[in-house]
Amino acid sequence: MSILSLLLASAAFFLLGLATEAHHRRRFGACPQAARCKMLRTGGWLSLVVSVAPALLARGWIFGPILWAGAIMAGAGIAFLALNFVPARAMRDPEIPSPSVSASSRLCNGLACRCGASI
Amino acid sequence: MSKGFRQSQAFLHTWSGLLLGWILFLVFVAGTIAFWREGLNRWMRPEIARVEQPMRVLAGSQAFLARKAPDAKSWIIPVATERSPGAQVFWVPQPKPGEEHGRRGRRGRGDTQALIGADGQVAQARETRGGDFFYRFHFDLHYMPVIWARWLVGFATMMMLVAIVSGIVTHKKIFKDFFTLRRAKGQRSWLDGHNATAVLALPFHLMITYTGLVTLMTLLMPWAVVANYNDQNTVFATLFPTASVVERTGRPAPLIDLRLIAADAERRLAAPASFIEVSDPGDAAARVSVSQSASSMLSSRTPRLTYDGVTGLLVWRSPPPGVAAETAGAMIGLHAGRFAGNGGRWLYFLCGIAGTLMVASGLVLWTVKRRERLPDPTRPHLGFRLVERLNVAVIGGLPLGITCFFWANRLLPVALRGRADWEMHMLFIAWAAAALMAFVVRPACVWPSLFAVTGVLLVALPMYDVVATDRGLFASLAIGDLMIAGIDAAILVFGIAFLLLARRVAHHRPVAKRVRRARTATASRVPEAAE
Repeated sequence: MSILSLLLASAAFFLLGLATEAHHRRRFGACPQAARCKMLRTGGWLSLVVSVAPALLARGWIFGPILWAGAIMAGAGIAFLALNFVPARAMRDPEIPSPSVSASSRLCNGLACRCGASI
Repeated sequence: MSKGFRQSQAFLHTWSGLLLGWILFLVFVAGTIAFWREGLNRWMRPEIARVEQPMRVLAGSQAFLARKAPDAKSWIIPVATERSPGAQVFWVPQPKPGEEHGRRGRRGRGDTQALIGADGQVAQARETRGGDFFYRFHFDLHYMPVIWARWLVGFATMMMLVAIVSGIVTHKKIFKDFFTLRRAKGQRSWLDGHNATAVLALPFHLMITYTGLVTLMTLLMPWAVVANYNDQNTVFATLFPTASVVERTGRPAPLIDLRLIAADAERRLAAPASFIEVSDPGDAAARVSVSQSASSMLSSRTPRLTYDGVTGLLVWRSPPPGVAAETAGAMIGLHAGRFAGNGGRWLYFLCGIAGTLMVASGLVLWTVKRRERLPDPTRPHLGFRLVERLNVAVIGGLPLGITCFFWANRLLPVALRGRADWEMHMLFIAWAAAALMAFVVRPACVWPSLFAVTGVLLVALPMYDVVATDRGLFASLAIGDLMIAGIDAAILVFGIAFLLLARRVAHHRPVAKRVRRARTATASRVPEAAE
C-alpha cells in the first residue's frame, strides 16, 4: 500500500512536470496545447490527491499522513530526477498529430506558452 | 511595494542563511547521520554479534547486575532489540551517608555501566561512542558547555526557519520552476540545485526546523514554566509522572524474573518495551518500571508501567499526558523519527541529505553570485575571501573529519586510554588540518584534494572491513544483517560520489570569457557529496 502511494505520487509529479513547457518540449518536441496541458495537470493533481488514500489505509490516521508526506517528497524527487536526468528522445512523440505540433510550436515561438511559462 | 518587500526578504534570506550557515551545515550533517544512530552503534562495535533473542539479553542483564550491584539504588536496563548492539545497562549506587542526594556527575561513569551482548554475557567491545556521538553532536556540539551549544544551535535553527520562510518569499518562482534544472549554466545551475533540494523536501525542512525548535523550547523560552512553577521538580513531576517512591525496607527479598514483567508490560501496552528501571533491587520494596518503546508511537512521551518487584503485580500506570505535553511529544517524535522503520529511516536520511545540500549550495551560491561582480576578481575583498575559505573548510573539511572518525574507530588500539575520546579528537584534528589547508592554499586546489582524500578513505573503509573484521559487506549479507551491510554499502556509495566530485572539480576549466569561475560549472555537483 505504501508503495502504491509512492507510485501515485511519482506519477502525479511526473504529469505535473510534463505540463511545464520546458519538459513537454524536451520529451515530446512541442509545446503543450492548452487542452493537453490542462489534462496533464488535472491528472497530476488527481493522482496526488488519490495517493492519500493508500497511505491512510496502510498506516491509519496518525502515521498515514506522515507516510503520505514522505511519499510525495520521494515521488517529487523521483519525478525530478527522471525528468532532468533521463535522456530525452530526440524524436517527436508519434501520438501527437502533426498539425497540433506545428500549431503549438508556432504558439510557442510567437507568444509565451500559456501554461507553465517558466522562461 | 511588493518588490520592495521581496527585496527585503532576499536580503534577510541571504544573511540569515549565510551567518549561521556553517553551523547549520554541521547540524544537518550530524543529524542526518544520527538517523542511523542504532545502526552505527552496532557498526562501530564489529566484535559484537547481532541480538537474536532480546529476552536472553534481559535475563543476562539481570544476572549480571545481581552479581555486580546487588544493593544498588537502581538499575537501568534498556531492552535490547535487533537494532541495538546489546543492552547498555547502568546502575546507581546507594548514596553514601552525607553525600549529596541524587547527584549525577560524570565521575566514575565507566564503573557503573556495562554492555551486555547477545549471549547475555558482558560484551568485550572496543570503547566507542558509536552513533550516539552524532546524536549528541547534532545539538550539543563538542568541546563546549552544553548550554552554550544548545543556545547556539537553537539560534541557528531560528535563523534556519527565517531563511526558509524568507526563501519561499524571495524565490517565489521556485514552485513554478519546480521541475527545472539547467545544468552547466553557472550561477543559474547553482540556484536551480539550491531550489530543487529546498523545494523537493520542503515539508521535511519546515517540519524538522520547527520541531527542532520545539525540542529546545524549554531552554529557549522558559518563561511559561518559570511563571507557573516554583521549582524544577514540580515541572518534571507534572511532565513525567512516576509512581510514588517507596521507602527502602531493609528486608531482603528476591527480585522477580524481569522477563516475566517485560512480557506482561508488552502485553498490556500492546507494544514493545524500551527501558526497565528497577529501584531498590533485592529489597522488599523493590519497584520495576517499564517504559514503552518510542518505535511504536509518534509521541516521544511514552507511557510507563510500574510493578511490585517482588510479587510482580502492577501497582501504577502513567496517566494519559495533557494535550500540550502530547503535542510537544508528538513533535519531538516527528523530529527524531524513532517511530520509523527502515523505509522511513531512508526517507528521513534522504531528506536530511537534501537539507545538507540545500545549506551547502546556498553557502557556495553566495560566493558564486558575488564573484562576477567583484571589482578585481584576482584580489577579492576580505569578506569574500573569508566566506570562500570557510566554505572549503566546513563543506570540504567536515566530511573528511567524519571519515577520519570512522577510521579511528577501526584503527585505534583497543587498549588505548580514553579511546572513545580519541576517536572524537581525530575528527576534529582532521577537520582542523583541512581548515588550515583551506586558509593557506588556493580553494581551486583544496576543494578537489579534500574531496579526493575523503573519497579514497571512504571507499577503502568497507574494503578494510571485509579484510580485517568478521562483519564485512559480504559476511553481513550472507547472514542477512542488512543494517551493517547497508552502512558499508552507503559508505562505499558516498566514497564514489566524493571521488567523482573531486574529478569533476579538478577537471573543470573556468569559462574563458568569465574570469575565475573555477567552481561554477560543477555547481550542481559539489554539494551532492557534502553529506
